[in-house]
Amino acid sequence: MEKQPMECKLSRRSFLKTSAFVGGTAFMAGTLPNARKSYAGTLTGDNNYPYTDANTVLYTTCLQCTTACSIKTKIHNGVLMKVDGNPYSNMTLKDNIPYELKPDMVTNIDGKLCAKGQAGIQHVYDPYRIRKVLKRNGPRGSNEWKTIPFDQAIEEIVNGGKIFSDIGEDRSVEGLKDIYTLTDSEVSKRMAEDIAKLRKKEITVKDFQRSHKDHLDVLIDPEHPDKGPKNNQFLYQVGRIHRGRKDFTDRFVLDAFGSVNWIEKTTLCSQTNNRIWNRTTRTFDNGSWVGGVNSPRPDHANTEFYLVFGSVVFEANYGPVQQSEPITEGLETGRIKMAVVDPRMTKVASKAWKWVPVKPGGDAGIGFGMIRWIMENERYDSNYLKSATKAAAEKAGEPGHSNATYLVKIVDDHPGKHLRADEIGIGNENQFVVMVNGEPVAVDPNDENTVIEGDLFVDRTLDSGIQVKTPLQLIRDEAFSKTMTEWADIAGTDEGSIVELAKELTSYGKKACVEYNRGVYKHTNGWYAAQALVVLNLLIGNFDWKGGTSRPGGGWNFVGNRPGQKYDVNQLHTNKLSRFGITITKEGWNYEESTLFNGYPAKRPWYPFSNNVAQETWGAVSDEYPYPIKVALVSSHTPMYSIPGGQAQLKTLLDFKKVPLLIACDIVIGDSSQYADYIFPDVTYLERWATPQQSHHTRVRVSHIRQPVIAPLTDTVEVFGEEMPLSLEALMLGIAEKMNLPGFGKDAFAPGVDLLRPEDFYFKLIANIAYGNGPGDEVEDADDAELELFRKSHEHLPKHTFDEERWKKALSPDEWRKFVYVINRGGRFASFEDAYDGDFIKNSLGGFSRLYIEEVANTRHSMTGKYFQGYPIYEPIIDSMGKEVIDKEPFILITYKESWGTQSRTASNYWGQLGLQPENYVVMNKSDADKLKLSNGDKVKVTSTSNPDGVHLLDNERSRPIIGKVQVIQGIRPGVVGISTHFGHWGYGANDVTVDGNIIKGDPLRGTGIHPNPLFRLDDHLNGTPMSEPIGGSVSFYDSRINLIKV
Amino acid sequence: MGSNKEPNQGRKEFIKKGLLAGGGLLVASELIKWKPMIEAVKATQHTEVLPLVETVSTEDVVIRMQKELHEALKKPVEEIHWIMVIDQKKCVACDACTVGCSAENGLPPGVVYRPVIKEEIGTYPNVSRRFTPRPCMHCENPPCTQVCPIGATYKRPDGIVSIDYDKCLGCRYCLSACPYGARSFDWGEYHTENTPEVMPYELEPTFEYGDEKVRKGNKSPIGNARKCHFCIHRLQNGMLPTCVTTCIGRATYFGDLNNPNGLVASLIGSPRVKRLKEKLGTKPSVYYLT
Amino acid sequence: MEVKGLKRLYFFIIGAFSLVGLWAIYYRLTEGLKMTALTSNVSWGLWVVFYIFFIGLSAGSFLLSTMVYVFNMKQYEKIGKVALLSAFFSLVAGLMFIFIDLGHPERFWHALVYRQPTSILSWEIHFYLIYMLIIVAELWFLLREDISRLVIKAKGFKKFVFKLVSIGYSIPDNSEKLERDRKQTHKWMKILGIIGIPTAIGVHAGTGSLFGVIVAKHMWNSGLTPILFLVSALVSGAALMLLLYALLVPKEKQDNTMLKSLGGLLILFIAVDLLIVAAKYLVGLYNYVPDERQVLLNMMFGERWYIFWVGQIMLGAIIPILLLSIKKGSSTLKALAGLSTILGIFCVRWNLVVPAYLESPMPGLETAFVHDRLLFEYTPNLFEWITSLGLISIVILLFSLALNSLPIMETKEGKEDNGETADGVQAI
Ligand SMILES: Nc1nc2c(c(=O)[nH]1)N[C@H]1C(S)=C(S)[C@@H](COP(=O)(O)OP(=O)(O)OC[C@H]3O[C@@H](n4cnc5c(=O)[nH]c(N)nc54)[C@H](O)[C@@H]3O)O[C@H]1N2
Ligand SMILES: Nc1nc2c(c(=O)[nH]1)N[C@H]1C(S)=C(S)[C@@H](COP(=O)(O)OP(=O)(O)OC[C@H]3O[C@@H](n4cnc5c(=O)[nH]c(N)nc54)[C@H](O)[C@@H]3O)O[C@H]1N2
Ligand code: SF4
Ligand code: SF4
Ligand code: SF4
Ligand code: SF4
Ligand code: SF4
Ligand SMILES: [Mo]
Repeated sequence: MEKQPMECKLSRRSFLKTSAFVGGTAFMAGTLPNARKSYAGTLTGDNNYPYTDANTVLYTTCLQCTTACSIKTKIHNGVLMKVDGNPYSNMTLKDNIPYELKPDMVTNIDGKLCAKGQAGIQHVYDPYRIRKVLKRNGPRGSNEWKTIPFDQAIEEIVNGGKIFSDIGEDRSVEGLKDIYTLTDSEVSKRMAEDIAKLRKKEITVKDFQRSHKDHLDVLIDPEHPDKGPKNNQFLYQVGRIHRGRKDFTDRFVLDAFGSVNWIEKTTLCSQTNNRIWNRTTRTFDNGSWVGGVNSPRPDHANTEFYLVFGSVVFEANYGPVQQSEPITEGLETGRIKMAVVDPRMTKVASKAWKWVPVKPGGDAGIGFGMIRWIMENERYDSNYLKSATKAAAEKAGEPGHSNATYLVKIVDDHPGKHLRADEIGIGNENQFVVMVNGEPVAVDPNDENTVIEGDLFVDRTLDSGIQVKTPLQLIRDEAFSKTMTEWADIAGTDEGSIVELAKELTSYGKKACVEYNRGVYKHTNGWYAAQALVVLNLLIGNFDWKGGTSRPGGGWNFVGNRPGQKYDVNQLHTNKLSRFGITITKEGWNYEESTLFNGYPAKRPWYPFSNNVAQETWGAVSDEYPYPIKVALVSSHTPMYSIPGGQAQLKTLLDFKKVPLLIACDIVIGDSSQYADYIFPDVTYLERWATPQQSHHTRVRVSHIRQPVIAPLTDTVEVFGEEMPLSLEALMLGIAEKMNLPGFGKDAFAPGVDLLRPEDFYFKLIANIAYGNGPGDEVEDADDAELELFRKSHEHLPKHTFDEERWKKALSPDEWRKFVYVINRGGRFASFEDAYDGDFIKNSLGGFSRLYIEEVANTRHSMTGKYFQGYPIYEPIIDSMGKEVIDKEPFILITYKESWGTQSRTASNYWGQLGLQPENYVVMNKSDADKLKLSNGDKVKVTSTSNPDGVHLLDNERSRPIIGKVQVIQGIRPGVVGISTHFGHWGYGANDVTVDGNIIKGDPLRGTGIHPNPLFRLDDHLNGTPMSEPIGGSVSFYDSRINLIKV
Repeated sequence: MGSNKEPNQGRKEFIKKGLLAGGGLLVASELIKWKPMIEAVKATQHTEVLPLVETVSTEDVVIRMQKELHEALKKPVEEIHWIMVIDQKKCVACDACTVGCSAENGLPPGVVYRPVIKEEIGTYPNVSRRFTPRPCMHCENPPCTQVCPIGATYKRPDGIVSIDYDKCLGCRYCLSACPYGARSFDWGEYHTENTPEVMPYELEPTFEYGDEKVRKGNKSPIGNARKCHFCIHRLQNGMLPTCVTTCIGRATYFGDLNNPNGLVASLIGSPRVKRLKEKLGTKPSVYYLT
Repeated sequence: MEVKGLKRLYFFIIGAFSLVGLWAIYYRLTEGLKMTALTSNVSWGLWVVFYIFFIGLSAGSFLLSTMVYVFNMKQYEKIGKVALLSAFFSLVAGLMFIFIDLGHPERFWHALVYRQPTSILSWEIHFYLIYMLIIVAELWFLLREDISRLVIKAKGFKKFVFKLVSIGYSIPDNSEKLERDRKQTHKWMKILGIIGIPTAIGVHAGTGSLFGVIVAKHMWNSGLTPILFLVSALVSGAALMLLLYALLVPKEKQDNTMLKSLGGLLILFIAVDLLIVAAKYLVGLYNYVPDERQVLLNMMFGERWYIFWVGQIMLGAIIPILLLSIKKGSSTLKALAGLSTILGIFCVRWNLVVPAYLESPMPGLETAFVHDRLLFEYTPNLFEWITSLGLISIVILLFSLALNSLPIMETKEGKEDNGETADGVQAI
């Protein structure tokens, strides 16, 4: 902490200084209650405490981080005063209270929350919140703004033209209407169908042109119809968004505007993890692999050996609130033995039996070392692994089985697809083949009658000449390709440690578990490294076992697409457009499928197995590959801050040619939205609707809702004749109204069912939750007392936010009471008691698991042209051309999250981040510091391979050096330097901005500390794009090398 | 005679004046009790709390603690001894308690009731970390109340060391006297005062000690010593302290030491138990399990 | 004329500073304590330093006065009254500092109506009151005769003021009665002095005990602390007397033996003080208890080393001893010695209060939650200095006015039959 000599604080407090931020909503309108001047009775006070009165309580959902915990808010005079955990939810109370309990009986029970959640008040009441639409009043990035009316802003972005002539910019900008060329639902549907055929090479480009000759003008490039319609030139990019809002924006971007470019930030996040698990847990159905569960996690409440790789379990991950209690309980009672593999002594590592300070990127070394030892010592669970059919699993007493024994064909040394029974004439094309005592046998994975137990290790050439191996054999070969010492070297640890870990993991039966997170897979080799760790779980066959790997609890389906459900909101869309074409990020497409295929390397990478490849977005925009973008809307995302090396694309953002119109929707003038042409104010998570996703770490169903709990701080606008607060929804509705987009406005859902306001949409999702999967699954009706409570507890909200009559109209009358019942509890929650079924987790992962993912093995890397592998392998750090990256700088840079911080939202949290640790540090080991003669508090400039001067660009002219203060600790691996995220903002209230000619002073406290992202390693072959992991699409966060120079 | 009278007169006058002045003081001080009234505490012991609903859970420690809290509230206040037990093995240093407490009590800049101390011990690679949340210890022998010149801070019969905001002079003597650094002073600042706008949550009342108070001008608690009070306002309403309910490591326990079957009483039977700076004789009501 | 002009200038300047002082008090009272650089961890700062400094000065001066009135040490008679008067005004200054240091000064009366028997501060407040009454009574006895003469002479407002101060005493009309009154005065002076001694000791040793009993601060928590307070109070009292005498009494009227013996006394007190300091600090440094050793090390060798070495040791001990040891030292040198000691004692006070706060009572607390108001650091800000300067000016102004209008530097004995007020006194 910098010594801050106290200056004479003579400035008077500025109550309610008028500023351009202050809009029409005066939330201080009411008079302040007088503090009673009581004297005698104040020894213990008068027991004044309003919050056991249920009328002061509203339940909703947190979004300080993505976890989305269920929260309980307490409101006084319309002001949010306290946030706590919702006791109805298993996410925030371990033994959550019965759902049936009346809300007014349980106000005295508070659940738990993390520090960020607790500080939510200071997020919503951030004095730097914007209230009105801002338009650039100088060059992009100049931070000169003027406020303009909402209607004018909508008019300008829709119609385009010389909309910046007021500041002397002569260029004519294409508005949204100019790129909204494909408007006919029928045409779009036909074109989309043909593009699907084109992808499969069932038709040619010529065929396509012929059959759509009247509509070719809607295409970006008729020579490449798979680039899609011009509508695709509208890019919507979003950060942490939750379900509900995701669905609303999907409706707008994908189904109404007809653009494929709805891109989230998940490749910065846990995309690779989701993809691996999802592929691992898919089941075979009629010739294809379907289903899949995104984020299975250990059943912490029952596990006995818990091995963590690269996850800050108590601080970040998906849910310290859920995870911590069962783990600490287990540590305290001695149930859990825990080991942590992380270059840093994290808080969880500090409680571990063993901490392995792994060399970044070396996790596969530990994974394979363990696999090797387990195989050598036959400590795997062959009972589980050998089961090839459902029937075999049942016989083995296992809840599932795997493809461990399903033969894989090896062609030209490359293990490709599984051998199908028809290929060797013993069955059909939907059957696989296992060896049973050396004889090939056809298997149907779902066979409930035939017990087939395959040979675990097979490596041979079949009579038909086909070379085959089992997945286990492939993995074994890989594990045995290096000695234990070599594996230990890769991991930067010792053989003994690896053996110990392997021994422990295999000593607790099913009650052992490996969990990993970003530390493992945010590397170029992250997919395979993570897959090796998944395999460890499969070697002991712990899926669906109590204490093993378990499925997240999930929730009630709210999009309503199951039979018997109330509102299938995606189908309820009049004149819905069928989007088609390649996304700007080329995700979900094989390079070879597209008409752009032109040999290897492709101009930029394609991501067949990923989606939301955030880091690819702006590089692709810059390279106009596959096509240029015309209008971009960024909301809840800050690419210039959160993407590693994001600043390398700042020039793209500032370039009118590359991004002719840049619109942001933000709650503040953020680190990225400051470069936009327009900023539309959004409401925060405490002022809006959603039906957020469920936690990774609960075992039972949670379907919480998000609702506005206070009067939104933003200005009020009118759209479709309805008053509503300025927000992302208002923006989209406004555009839809202006452009007459389908699926919004009158009869949007169906004749007579309008979508005029956010509630019209969100209430349907909530009704779906209330009604569940149809008759018998619905919640009770709210009684009259609950209706009254509902009214009273929402009374403080302004009419445009709460209007009972209006609200009722969004639903059918019979739904109202159930809706209220759900709202009054903040969602729908299953009981903690619903988690287990004997020794098993009730909510199953699906019963089938894959150690080998054939579709991955059958796909080529778009740059190198080489096939990917379907099983875990060891790979060094390589770039997009497969070249090993060997940088000279002495330190490896890693980054991490602190328990009280998120990327930006916590920058305003005086009770949290700003008080707990107002700045971050360049954290290094004492031995390294001694070598460089550095000590605590010394300032160092940080340079890196891709940023040799250590500068952070702020706009075309300005930059700042990347300087941080050293913190010397023992708990980090020598040679590794850690810099947390959350700090070093240059927007989000940290900087001065000019609005309508008034300078609004920033708060320098928000800009303290160092931001590591401009330092990350960029790919040598890609224009300003960080190195990435090619299958799951992860950005590399931990493969960069840096140098420290004392200043 | 007359010559004799004069000096006597003078003396008498003097004595009279002195007596008047001194006596006035004495009488005034007699009117005020030497110690805060135990009766007053009893009188305001809240009897009508929202009952705790029956839930299915028998195991969740929070539910159990809350049940025991409700039982304790039925007793006369002087038969309760509230204590807190913090399990350092379970504390994950998430700071949720620090922030939760700050929000619960509407703490202004520079005031904190329950920071969590984080220490690193050892040399690479043999490193460990120790986390010590530090609320007020509610000492049985509180040095802070001992020094307060006017008894504005005092120990309640149930062990809670409280501050009477309306009485406190703001002399800050107690701040110096606390060996745990548990007290801070309310300087009258606002988090958002040097920003474009002071935010409404800073101007709404808080309910510490069950008293509705708005921080404004020089009104208390501005200008007062402040510290953790075991969330008396919540206890009185049958609720556990915020730092207990929000603790994600479930490392913080709360209850009545005088309930031999209670959770906290049984927890401190552990050999891991310790209290901070025990040798000072303060006898904290906050116990740590190391 | 020369002298009068100087005097005017003097009163003008000190008056102006006093106005600043008044403004500062007003500002402090309306804006609260956030105007200071104090933190919750360094909860007492400059104002408390001044508070104990002035209380010490007061106690020291008073104790010196008792040498005259209780122990009949005639050689000090000439400073008897001024000692009492400065004891009074120093006390006023001390109390003013503690008053503005309160978070709720408007509740100062709580200190009188509520009390807490275990609180040293509670007792202290009562001690201060009794002590104040004793000084006032003593002064009244000493001055009543002169004042009543002034009442007769003065006119208008002045008359009113004098009348007020005389509390109804009027000089008897015959010398017999006057003689009796004077005897009475003597007796009362003795009685009050005798009561005053323990009170004054109580006042300052008690102030020391405020610190001494604080178990939280190892550095303070010692039986030596009150003694140290007391001895340094004597040091500062003697130094002040030396300064005032050398300054206020015109050179030609100065009594050299008086100066000498005051000087000797000062050296003695300083020596005892040093002894106690050495004892305390060396013991503190000997052991490795961080909250004491580290505090001392920081104090002596940290950022503010000079407060100890230059202030406490050089100004407070070495320089005065050297100056006073010059055999034929002029009274100016003596005055300088006094001044130097007083400045030194201010540093002693600083070191008694502030350094103990700069070490965290719980290691790690300093980074557990961070805010300006939670720093273990303290540098008084401009406002605190201005306020202090203003307050001190107000007190000096009152003191000067008193000196200017009352026969303080006169001894009754000297002008037995002369019913005139003293004219020879010049205020500085
Ligand atoms: N407090 C907080 N919690 C959050 C969020 C937040 O913003 N703040 N965000 C949420 C989101 S979006 C996400 S994605 C999750 C992320 O949750 P985590 O994945 O748990 O968090 P990170 O900080 O990304 O984790 C990086 C960890 O990996 C370690 N590490 C670095 N390199 C390596 C390596 O090569 N091998 C190994 N084994 N470890 C390595 C780092 O030291 C660090 O401890 O957190 C969620 N929860
Ligand atoms: N160095 C480093 N970088 C990282 C990470 C790391 O661990 N270290 N973690 C990565 C991970 S896991 C993730 S998920 C990403 C997250 O990256 P992002 O999704 O980009 O980050 P967020 O913190 O969610 O905030 C995005 C921005 O949205 C705006 N915003 C906040 N609330 C709202 C709202 O309610 N409405 C609207 N419209 N806007 C809002 C704010 O301006 C905020 O800056 O960051 C990644 N970047
Ligand atoms: S973990 Fe995330 S969602 Fe849950 S309370 Fe904390 S910030 Fe909110
Ligand atoms: S911890 Fe400090 S404030 Fe709390 S009772 Fe003990 S001495 Fe008083
Ligand atoms: S600050 Fe208040 S509570 Fe503390 S000692 Fe002074 S008067 Fe007592
Ligand atoms: S008991 Fe209440 S006041 Fe004390 S630390 Fe916990 S939350 Fe804060
Ligand atoms: S909330 Fe609990 S786990 Fe978190 S820091 Fe506080 S005591 Fe520790
Ligand atoms: Mo993330």
